[in-house]
Amino acid sequence: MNVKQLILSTAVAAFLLTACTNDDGGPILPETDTEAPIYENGIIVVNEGGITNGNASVSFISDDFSVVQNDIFSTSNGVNAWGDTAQSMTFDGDLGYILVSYSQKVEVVNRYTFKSITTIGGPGMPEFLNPRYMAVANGKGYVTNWGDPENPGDDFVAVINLESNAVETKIPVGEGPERILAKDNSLYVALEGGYNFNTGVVLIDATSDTVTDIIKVADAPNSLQLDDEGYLWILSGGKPGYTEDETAGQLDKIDTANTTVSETYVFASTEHPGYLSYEGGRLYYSVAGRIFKMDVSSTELPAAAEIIGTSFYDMTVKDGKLYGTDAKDFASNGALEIYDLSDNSLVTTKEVGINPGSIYFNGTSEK
Amino acid sequence: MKRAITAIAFLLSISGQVSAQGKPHWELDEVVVSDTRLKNYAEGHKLKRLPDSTIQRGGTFLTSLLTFNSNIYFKENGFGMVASPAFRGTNASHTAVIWNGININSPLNGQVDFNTINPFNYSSVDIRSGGGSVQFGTGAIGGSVHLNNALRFEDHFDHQVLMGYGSFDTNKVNYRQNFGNVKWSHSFGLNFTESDNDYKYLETGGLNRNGEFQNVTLNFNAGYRLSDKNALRLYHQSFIGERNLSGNLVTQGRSRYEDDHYRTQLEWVGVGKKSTSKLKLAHLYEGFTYYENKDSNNFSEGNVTTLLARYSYDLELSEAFRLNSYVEYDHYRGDGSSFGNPQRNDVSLTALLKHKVSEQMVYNFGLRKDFSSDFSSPLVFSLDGKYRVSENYGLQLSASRNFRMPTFNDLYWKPGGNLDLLSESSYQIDLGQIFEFGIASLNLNGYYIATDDMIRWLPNVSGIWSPSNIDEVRIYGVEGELALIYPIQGKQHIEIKTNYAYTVSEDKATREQLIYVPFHRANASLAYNLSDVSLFYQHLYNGPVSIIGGELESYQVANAGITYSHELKGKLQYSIGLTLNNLFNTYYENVALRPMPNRNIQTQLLLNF
Repeated sequence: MNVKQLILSTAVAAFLLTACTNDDGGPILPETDTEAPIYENGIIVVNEGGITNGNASVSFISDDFSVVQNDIFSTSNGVNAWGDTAQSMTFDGDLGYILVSYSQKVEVVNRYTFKSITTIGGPGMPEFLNPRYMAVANGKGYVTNWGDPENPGDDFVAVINLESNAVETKIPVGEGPERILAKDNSLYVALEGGYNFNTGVVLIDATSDTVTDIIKVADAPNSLQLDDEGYLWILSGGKPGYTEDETAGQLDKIDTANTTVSETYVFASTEHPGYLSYEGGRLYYSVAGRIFKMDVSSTELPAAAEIIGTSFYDMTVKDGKLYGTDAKDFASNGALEIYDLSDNSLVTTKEVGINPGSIYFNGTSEK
Repeated sequence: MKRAITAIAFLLSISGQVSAQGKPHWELDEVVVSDTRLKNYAEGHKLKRLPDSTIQRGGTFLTSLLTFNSNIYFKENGFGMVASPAFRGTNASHTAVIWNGININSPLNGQVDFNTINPFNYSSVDIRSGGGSVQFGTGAIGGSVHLNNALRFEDHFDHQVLMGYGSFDTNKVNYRQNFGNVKWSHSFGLNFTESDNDYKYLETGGLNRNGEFQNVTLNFNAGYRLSDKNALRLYHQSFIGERNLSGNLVTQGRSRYEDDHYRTQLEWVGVGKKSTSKLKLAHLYEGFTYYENKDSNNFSEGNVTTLLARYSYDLELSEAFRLNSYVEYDHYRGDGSSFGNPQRNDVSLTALLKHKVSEQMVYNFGLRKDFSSDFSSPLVFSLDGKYRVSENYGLQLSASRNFRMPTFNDLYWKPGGNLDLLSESSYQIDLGQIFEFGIASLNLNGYYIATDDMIRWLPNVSGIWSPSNIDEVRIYGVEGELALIYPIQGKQHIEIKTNYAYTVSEDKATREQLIYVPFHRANASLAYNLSDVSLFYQHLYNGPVSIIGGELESYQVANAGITYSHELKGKLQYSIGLTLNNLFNTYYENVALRPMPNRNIQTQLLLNF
């Protein structure tokens, strides 16, 4: 899903106030011990909600899929509307950082209770402007920001001091910084382009908080993965046909020791891959709803899809299972679909919140 | 604003050049309205007229006037922001707005933003319930709202000046002039409104930030009798609006929206012994500029120009039969950041037949077919009639098929616009009963609307949002309207008007009520006059509505006002008014997370001379 598309179309839809059906958020279960790590050993789905609808939410699904709880942030904190467009979440120790792009803030929670610890930034405040993704390195949080989406020149990475929860500095980068990945004291920031299309992955040094290098890739780099041997894999979507300047998708393998491209795989000119995932020596990605699997040692892209007919809004792989979210009509509750990668069968589908846009895993609390 | 001032100067210069002539015998009426279809071919439809006196109490925008005086429900993105109607449970593009006979729904999105229409400069606002596509074209599914300027061909020269000031630094200035003699008549109106609109959110203590607006509206309407059988009429309206768009409880508004609307129509009317011919030429322009960040120079923009030519021929076939037929040609030309430079040509053919069966019974039958260069529209029909059972009781029945064209956004948006769309199509039936007993009148209506091929935007296989004709909706409901005018004695009288609507509007597939359609909605207004003093009170109950992922609570909100009017020497009359909006300081949202204003005061001084 192209982000500009989504935003513009959602804005159109909001303007039209097109009638859509109602869907309640599901039952809210009563709580007894609010300090208990009730959201451990399960899957966390962050639901964006509708842009300008202020109905962002977080869902929890237990590892055995027997328990589904929606709106866990609201439940744990006794609030109703708390955020507009929850873009992503990042974890560090016991803490979770929820990036709420239209509310210009980062909600800091205990990842196992979802109790709010603090809020960084906020509507109209200077810390963030359209925050997207965050990574942690050298004791600091690095948050990609589009700035004003119509302005290609004001994009930045905000650096949060994770002790004081204050934004200490902003590192200017090119237009549309999206995914960010940390390896030791290096941060890789993919310039997908925001409303437009950009290219390149920026390298930031977490000791000096400066940009030290840029890796050339194809247009619209949309996902980053590290493999077990320490190679960085960058998937670029290319420009879609409607731009009237269509470019092919591309997968690049980067040697992180010297920041050089060691392998490049080029897709067909009309193929625009996304959602790169990695587990156990294998990469997974999606092209127009078809899911492909590729061994990291492979010299060419796979020809046949593993799973077809999906419409994922995000996708990830863990413990031999593929997790994908379906945002349906982007106005009613979405679903989490879980596939078994041993036989590519659908294990189960669980109803989550509106516009489920990212999937995470919570292990056992050490408490 | 410069353009507005130039236009005013120009119009003032022409209005001064006409002088009175002798008084021949006129075939033409003394008071004329442009749109005679409302009266002549609509007996089976519920028609409600809001007169000048109601308009004066109606607040700044058409939205608030209709909210408290009709069954139309509005979704307002905060006060003064984009407001769209749900008329009989239909969506925002299913209410047609007709300005002196011309459909002014935006070709871009099919809607009219009711907060871009200032009601002050119309002589009346009519609300016609039920389908009207045969007469009024695209979007007349839930009903239509008619903005009328009457021209009076009698000797008169009146001026009205209104000045208003109120909470949130709201300023209004309105000047209106009406001039007429047997040959010439004109009305001229100029309105300026501005507000900081920074009301407090009652529950959170926050302020409505970035909600300031200002707008200028200019109206000029003129009629000239060329001979005893021929007349020319000109109607012009300019609206220049600038708004910042407020955020919601969890975001901060940063954007700004500017829109300009210029509408001009020229009409020739020729009256024969049994027939009337009309030729109408119109130029409509609307343009917008949207700044996502109001402080930046980056913006997106769009505009559409519509050229319209309509010839209509009305013929009295016999005592009992009357026929009206017309042909209309529309040329649309757009230019925008998101849809390129599309052009489109549409032609429509319409015929209406009226049969007056007896003094008690009349019915109309109409057919219309639209042809467009870019999509196909259904053949639509209407059948409506009225039967006066007794002096106190009448029946109205109407059945019709109606349509809504795909909009510019639907057809041409880049990427995703779909040139394979059809018009949305809707069937409906409406039964009305009218009871009239001296001081009281009661309207009861029940209706059913089934709409299919409704356009919805969804991501396609390659993830691009694109519209298709997939949704089906059915709506049924009942409406009641009670009006009482009760003279107490001498110079006192009481006027009570109430409206109630029960609306079920559901998606055929899910059987669930659509978002933002209340099952129950009621309003009441009470006016009391004692010679120079008049008091009014308005009350609204809005039932709970479904929203995406939840429900919005019901609310009740009330306004009250007092006016003192006094005549000074000669023609000069002044009146001083004070209105308390949201009298009980109720917290309410009519779009989720966008609180509406707390209690506020608006004052006004009105001079008539």
